Amino acid sequence: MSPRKKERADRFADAPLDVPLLEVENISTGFKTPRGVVHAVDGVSFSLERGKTLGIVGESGCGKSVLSRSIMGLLPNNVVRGGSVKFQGHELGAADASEMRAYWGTQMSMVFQDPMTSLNPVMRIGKQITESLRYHLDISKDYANETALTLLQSVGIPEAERRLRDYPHQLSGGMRQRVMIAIALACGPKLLFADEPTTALDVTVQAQILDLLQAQQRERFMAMILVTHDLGVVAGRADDIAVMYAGKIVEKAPARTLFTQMRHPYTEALLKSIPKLNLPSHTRLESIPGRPPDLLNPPKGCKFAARCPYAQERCFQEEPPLEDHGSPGHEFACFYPVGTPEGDEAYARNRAAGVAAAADPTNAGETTPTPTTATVGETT
Amino acid sequence: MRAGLRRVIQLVIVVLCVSFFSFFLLQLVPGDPVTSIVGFSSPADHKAIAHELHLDQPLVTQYWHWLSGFVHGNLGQVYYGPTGRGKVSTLIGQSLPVSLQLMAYAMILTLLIAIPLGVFAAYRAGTIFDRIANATAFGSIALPDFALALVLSYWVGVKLRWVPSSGYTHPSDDLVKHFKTMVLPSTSLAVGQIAAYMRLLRSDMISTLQEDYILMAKSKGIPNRRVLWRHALRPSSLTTLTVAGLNIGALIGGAVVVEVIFGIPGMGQLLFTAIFERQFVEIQSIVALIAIGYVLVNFFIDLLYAFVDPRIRDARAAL
Amino acid sequence: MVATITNLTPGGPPVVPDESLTYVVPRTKRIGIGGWLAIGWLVIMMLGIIILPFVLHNPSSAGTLASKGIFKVPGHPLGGDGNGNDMLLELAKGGRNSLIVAVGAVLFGLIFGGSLGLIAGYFRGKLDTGLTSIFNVLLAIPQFVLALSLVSVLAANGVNSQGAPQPATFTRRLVVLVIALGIVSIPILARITRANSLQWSQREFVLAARAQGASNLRIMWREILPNVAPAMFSIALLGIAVAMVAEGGLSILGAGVQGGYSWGNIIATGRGQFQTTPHIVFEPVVCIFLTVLSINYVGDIVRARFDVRESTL
Repeated sequence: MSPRKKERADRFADAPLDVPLLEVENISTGFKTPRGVVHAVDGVSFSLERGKTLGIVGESGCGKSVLSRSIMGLLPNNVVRGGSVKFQGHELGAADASEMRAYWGTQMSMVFQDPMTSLNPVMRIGKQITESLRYHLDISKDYANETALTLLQSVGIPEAERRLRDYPHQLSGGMRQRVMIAIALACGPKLLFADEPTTALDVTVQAQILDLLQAQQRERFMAMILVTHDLGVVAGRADDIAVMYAGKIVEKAPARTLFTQMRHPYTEALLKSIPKLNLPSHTRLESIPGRPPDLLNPPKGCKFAARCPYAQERCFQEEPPLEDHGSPGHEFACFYPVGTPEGDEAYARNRAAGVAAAADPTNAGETTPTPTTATVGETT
Repeated sequence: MRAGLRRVIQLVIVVLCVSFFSFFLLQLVPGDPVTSIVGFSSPADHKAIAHELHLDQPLVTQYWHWLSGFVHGNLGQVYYGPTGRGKVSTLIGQSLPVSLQLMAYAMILTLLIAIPLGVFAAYRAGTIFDRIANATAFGSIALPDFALALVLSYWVGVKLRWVPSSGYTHPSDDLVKHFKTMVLPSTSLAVGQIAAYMRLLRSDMISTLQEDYILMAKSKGIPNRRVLWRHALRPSSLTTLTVAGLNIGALIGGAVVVEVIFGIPGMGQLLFTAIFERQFVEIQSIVALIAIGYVLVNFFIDLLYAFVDPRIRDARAAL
Repeated sequence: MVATITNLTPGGPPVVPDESLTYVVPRTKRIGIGGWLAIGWLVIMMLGIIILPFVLHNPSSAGTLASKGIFKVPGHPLGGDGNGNDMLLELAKGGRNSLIVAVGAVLFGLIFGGSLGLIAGYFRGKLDTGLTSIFNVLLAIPQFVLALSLVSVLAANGVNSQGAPQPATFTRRLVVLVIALGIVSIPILARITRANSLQWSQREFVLAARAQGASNLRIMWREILPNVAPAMFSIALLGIAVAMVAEGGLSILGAGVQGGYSWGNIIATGRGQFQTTPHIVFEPVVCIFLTVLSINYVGDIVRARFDVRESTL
């Protein structure tokens, strides 16, 4: 083995089990633009063990995709980064692209959202798989082809031998996504990022893909970060769920707890906005009024306050910290949480006044329409 | 296969039209063609030559004779006065290889320089290197081939005397000298081409590098150099290939003038002499040959298109 | 649409992170230093061409200037040609003809090619297919070779009855050049006009005009042409540059405006004494280069200004 590979092998030997696989502490990512710095990720922390799945949920623009790329280090050069990312105890934060390349593919890899555009259209499928195999592992062409074949079979692609020689445009959307998964898993990474893996697919195929991801994760004892805007996707498949809003995590809890004992008003609103089968037809959909804040000049205080039915004056002045408030494993960032006495009071106060604190002109923040009734139309 | 057949038929039609145009050139000559070509001649000779050229027959028959002769390798004759003759095919046989050499060297030079330049400029888009490359390319495109040829011929050939400023040596006579005589002409032709291709490749590549599959390739841990050459280059070459046909047309045009400037005995030089000597029959054949060659090159490029992009290959097969 | 956050280049253009963040790229439509320089040269050149022939005079004795180089003779900074004429004056006269040829050719191409393209794009169907095939055949011959062959036969030196060569007149050569280069430019101009005409013909205001009973001619003239014209303007500019270069090449081959002045012709005649008096060749070369460069630059700016959609040939 060449010295370079030996050094890598040493570095990546299985770390002791008492260190979490991934430790993210207060990372922030901003994009430098001529109009200023866009704060896409603003102080996110969590940790992840091998074999566990973390679901990250949020609406468009909340920074969840940027978050996963920040952790992996797949960002362009005009970014401002802060915080620390520890993978198996090694600090990654300061690493540049050439150092991170040692991790990509072999230690952590990503499944992207759109399989149509994420596969090279002029390269055969087999080649796209064997490429990373042959680059990272010192194996022969034949062995790489065999491995690619097995990979394709394990992700459930029929007639895998033929498919090796096909081009992406000859496959259906679901199959392409399976190929992407195969490519991501080729070198046996310990951590898999699935960035909206089913958004571009038919509903019928979505469940298959998610099942596949889950099965592979169990087989390989991988950690997985599942990023999506769809709560249904993470419902049965994540161990923990983190809800993101405007670049921050606003609530993080084990899956069941999140759904049954949510504390953050945004989480509640998200859950409420899911239409339910048992409601009569023509029931108005509940949506969250207003728009996400401008990440160029974020407002003071809690970023959700302008759209929150529980918001009080304090929310516009101070930013609530992400704490577990006594229930371990369940963190949320709110002064007037759902289901607590303070929260209920706040809500009642707002209803009595007829408006949420948001409509009060003395409060700074985004101007939004008065959210007295749920309005149809504005989708997340 | 049906699509392939249709293409071949189109090709044949275009070749016929082009050959007809070349043939028709003789009809456009003002005044009497025989006198124009041969000069003064006795009435008997005049009639004989007119009959030889089938000028006393209807147009279509003339074309038929010309075409069948052409296909059989009879490319007409040059006339030195009323009785002197020479075979055009011999002359072309001597000049064509020389022109092909010149253009081949120019193309090789172009590809060797333009491709790495374009790739690197796209990779380092926005940097000083890129800006200088772009500015130089812009200036080079504005500089006509013959202008550069004259400049090079004077400064490198006459002043610095590094290589001969004109003339040609056959490769079998002296290979080194052959290359020395071809350096300046090839460079004059190549510079304009390099600029054009480099710019195209660069802009195509910049947009390819924004594609998702490049990010995907990167996320596999593959080094940048490999991503650039193995993943990004091939999809970016499509626009370049599209204009290759036009560019080769410009190359041919430039080669004609450059040959004359450097005294390279190729088809361009031959055409030049033919025009001067009013050898219209010869002009017909030369133009026909050049035009048909160009059509074939374009056809070949079209085929290459499907080879480079498998999506087009399948789309065409489905037609 | 997926976030395309990739940039293999340092300090590359800022890339939009996914989803709802919109980032506006400022469009530079300003005329930079280069633009002003380019416009400046073109203006100076045009003024020179118009004014200088009235202002400058050749020295009375040919010997004063014959073959003298740059800055060698006071009062005549650009030196003289082989016959003792002032180079600056020659360039001015030559520029006039070069311009006439170039602009004439493009006008010819615009008028004929443009109208054919307009018609093809408007009527479509069989007419379009037929016209396009003709364009394709014309395009199948390399441009320069086509021009050369046309000029060589049409402006051929006539031969009188004694068999002695009789050169065609200057005017005839000029006209033939304009026509030949014009014919060569027809297919390209026609294609671009056609593409634009196709797009504009689909618009509703054309349908509205037709519904009001406007004739086809009127529609093409009043509705479609004004919209296609801006796109053609920048292409026409570039075409002038190309035609100028073509004229230079043709002259070197002896197929230019023989018997008169043009930049290409000055080069052609100067080639004979290239080694001893290179300035005769280089001065017109510099003129051509600067003019083409300036036209390209201005053409680019014009194109950006009008936000013309380029049709792929």
